[in-house]
Amino acid sequence: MSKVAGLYIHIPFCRVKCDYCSFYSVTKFDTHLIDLYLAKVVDQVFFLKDKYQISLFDTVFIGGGTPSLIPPASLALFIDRLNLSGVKEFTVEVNPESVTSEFLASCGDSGVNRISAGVQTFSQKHRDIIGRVGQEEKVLAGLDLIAGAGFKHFSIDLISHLPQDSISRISGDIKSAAGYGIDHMSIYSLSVEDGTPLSDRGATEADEDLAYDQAFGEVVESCGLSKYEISNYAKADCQSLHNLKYWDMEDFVGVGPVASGTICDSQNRFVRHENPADLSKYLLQSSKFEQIVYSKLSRNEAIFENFMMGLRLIRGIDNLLFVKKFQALPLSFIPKTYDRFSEFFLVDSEFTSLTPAGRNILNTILVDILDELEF
Amino acid sequence: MKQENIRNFCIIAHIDHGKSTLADRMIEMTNSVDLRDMKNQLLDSMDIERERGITIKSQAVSMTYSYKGEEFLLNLVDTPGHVDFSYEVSRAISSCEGALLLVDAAQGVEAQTLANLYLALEHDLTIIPVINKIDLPSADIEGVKKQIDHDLGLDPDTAVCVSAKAGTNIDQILEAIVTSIPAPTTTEDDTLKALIFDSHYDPYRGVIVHVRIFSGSIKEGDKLFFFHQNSTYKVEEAGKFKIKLSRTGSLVDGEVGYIICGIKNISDVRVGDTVTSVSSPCSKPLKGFKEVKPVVYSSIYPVDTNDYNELVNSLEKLKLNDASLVYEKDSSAALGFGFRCGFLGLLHLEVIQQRLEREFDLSVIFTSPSVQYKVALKGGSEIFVENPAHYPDPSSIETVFEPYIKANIITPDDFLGPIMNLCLEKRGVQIHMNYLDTKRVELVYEIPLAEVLYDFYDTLKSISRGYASFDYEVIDLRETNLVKVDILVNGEAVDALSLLVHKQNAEYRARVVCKKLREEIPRHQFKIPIQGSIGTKVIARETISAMRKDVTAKCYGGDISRKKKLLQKQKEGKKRMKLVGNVELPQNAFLAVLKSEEK
Repeated sequence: MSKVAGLYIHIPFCRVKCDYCSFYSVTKFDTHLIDLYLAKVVDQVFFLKDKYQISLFDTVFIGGGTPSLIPPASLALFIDRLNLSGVKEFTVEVNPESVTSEFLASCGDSGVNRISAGVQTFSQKHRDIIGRVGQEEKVLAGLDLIAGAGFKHFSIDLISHLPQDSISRISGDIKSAAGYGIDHMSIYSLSVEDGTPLSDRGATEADEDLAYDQAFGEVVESCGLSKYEISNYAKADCQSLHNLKYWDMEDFVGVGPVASGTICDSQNRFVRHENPADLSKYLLQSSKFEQIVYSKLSRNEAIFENFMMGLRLIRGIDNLLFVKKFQALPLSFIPKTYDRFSEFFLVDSEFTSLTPAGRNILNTILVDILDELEF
Repeated sequence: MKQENIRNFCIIAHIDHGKSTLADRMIEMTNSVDLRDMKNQLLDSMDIERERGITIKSQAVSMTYSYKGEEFLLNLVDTPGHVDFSYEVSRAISSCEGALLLVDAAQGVEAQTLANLYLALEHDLTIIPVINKIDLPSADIEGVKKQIDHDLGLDPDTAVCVSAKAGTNIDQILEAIVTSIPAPTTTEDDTLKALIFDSHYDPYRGVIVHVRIFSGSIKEGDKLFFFHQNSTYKVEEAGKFKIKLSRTGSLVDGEVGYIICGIKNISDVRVGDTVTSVSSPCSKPLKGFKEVKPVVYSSIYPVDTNDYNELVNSLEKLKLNDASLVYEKDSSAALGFGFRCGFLGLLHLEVIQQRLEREFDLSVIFTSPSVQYKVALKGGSEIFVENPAHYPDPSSIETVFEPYIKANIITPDDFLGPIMNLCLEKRGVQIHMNYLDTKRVELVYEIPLAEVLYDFYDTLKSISRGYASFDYEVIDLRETNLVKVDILVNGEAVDALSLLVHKQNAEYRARVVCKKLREEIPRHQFKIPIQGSIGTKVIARETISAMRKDVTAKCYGGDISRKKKLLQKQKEGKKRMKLVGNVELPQNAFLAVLKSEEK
């Protein structure tokens, strides 16, 4: 039996680590190390493809880290060696402050059809506050390059709820981003993670401010983008197909340090693979990739993850997909939680979703689901 | 050993002045314990004691010391250092002839030192002043000597200067003990009279009774009569304290040691009781025995109702070693099954709470501490109430009486104003005020015990910068104007949060509790009113606004395991909460009624 799955490739290199970031990346590297790394990634892609009998990767996402640090020629060779075909959506994440036209050309030539640019904010003052690498002018220049390169899809990432924030700052950022003709936007509220320099200097996450949330939501909509997930907005038919696989709990593999993936096997069991958060360990393992940690999700754990991910979508959990995996409708597994939070749930024949107020307290609801499912 | 070569002494000191360290050095120097058995601060054997630097349970140890070619037996009786245990201190002191009065060279004479000194002088103990921590850069030996002369009225020339930490001049102390402290006095009378100054429980041997022999002797096989307990036992084993028990077969006049008599329950042995022999009993017991009764009551509930059986077992184990802990079954609508417990004081309560949590790994909730009230009902009957849940309908009550204490406070006169204000606030009545010298004042107040439970000691310490000492005894019951304050969370009265308070303080206390609860209860997805009421009359109110946002911004394929872990953690936190109606109350919410407003 052969499968269709998404493919995530992690590029764990960054020029400088941003102060708010808690993701795994290294800042000491050269082109040799990148090439060595990419070769290992190719091996792992084929290893996992073979292991899970995957016939087709229909979505590919190269994220990071900073994929745009890969030398253009290395990138082209790398993608060639992956021997992809039939990819519907092929995304590469770039940092607009350092992206080059050569890199973008290499992407275009290799079949990449979607660029995701990590802007975070255009405001230099706020870039400094959160310690985001790169100057405003360079960011603008990079975005011009991307917009001019003519990719089919173009997405920009922004961060909301920054320290010393205002409705005018976030609104201005949204409008500036929209000015580049994008069809997708991700807006994450700032999370201050323990152990980051941002947290060390005493920054805290913003108090809830519903006026702010509402105001920026309206600005995004006015730019022609509709919310389809808690932090994601898109024009019609431009939702990220790759990310939808995560939220719908469809098959995907993860390649590179810290990357992970989940595959549903023929008996409807979910198997997770997780890579070590250590570049050297990753590189030094054999072609059997013995550093991968595999785990089988129990049925209730898998059901929980379906709620955790699916309720993030505005449309909600796809009932048919869910029934196919678990032989019953979502709410039949969580009667107690539904009873307690019924005012926040919306159910129709196709989907099980939350109201906007329900989505805002998703974690509270998930904790009850976790309690009810007991795994 | 000859009686003239025995010295019985204790160490009295302010908290933190280095009592336990000094004891350790003396034990080391006299080779009373193997170095490899040496933990820091041997005498403070409970974790909490070591951590808080205080001794809760008295201990004793015998050391052998050679002086001028002669062997001396030095019996150190350790004393607890808190007002809740002042009776135990007095029993320990009365089993000695001398005391080391320890003063920190940097801190100088402090109030508690004084209170204990008076206690020692009352029992005619010979005092050896010891100035400790002389190795500190801030040590002021001359200044402290002046204080010893002026404040304590002791001869500063007799003071021994040491550093217990560095082990400097410890030999001088041992020498002073031999030369200054008198040997136990001999009496012609060989009728057995021994004082029980402490006891502890050994799981294999039962109760180990700590005794000081004042006349006569005890040997294995003797039949003994415990005077106040009115019971007889046969001595199975007798011996001395050498960190571990060291069997000697007998104890004679003047000695300090232990006896084992097959006693199963520690509550069958009363500290302060007199031991005599069945065959020729003494006519009168030793002076100073007091029945120790609990003064503070609080209920203990397991956070997780499934832990009830563990709580039962844990309390039984604690009770084995703590005769002053009393408890009976209790139940609450909000908290399920638990126990109503009596304690000697707030520190005692706190110690029990911490031991339950640390030694037995239990999450427990203590309800608001209360004193015992006498309630005269219409129709002439009387009941005693210490649990707000059992407080009768006010319309059926004729009069309520509350316990009063006589409080002795000694303070430098600089703090006189604030302390008198505090006592007034606490409904205290001044009985007298007396200058001990040009600087120090003794204040005597009669104060309701309930007021002292709530935040008196901490406030006294803070307004006097730690200098005021405080000691009390319960004197009588007096008429009072008591009300029961209910706390309602989301419209539902939480029985475990109810308080019995004087009417004058009801509004203030209710406000403080509501405010604390507002801080402690996490926001829910609905608005939660918190009210304090007397009957149906609301006297305080706070509101917790609804939580509208609790969501993870970013969650992709690679985040699933990590995000799931965070939610699991959130779930664990929730598990430690009590669901009352529709509201989750964290454990700390129940502490809201214990603590006052931060000043």
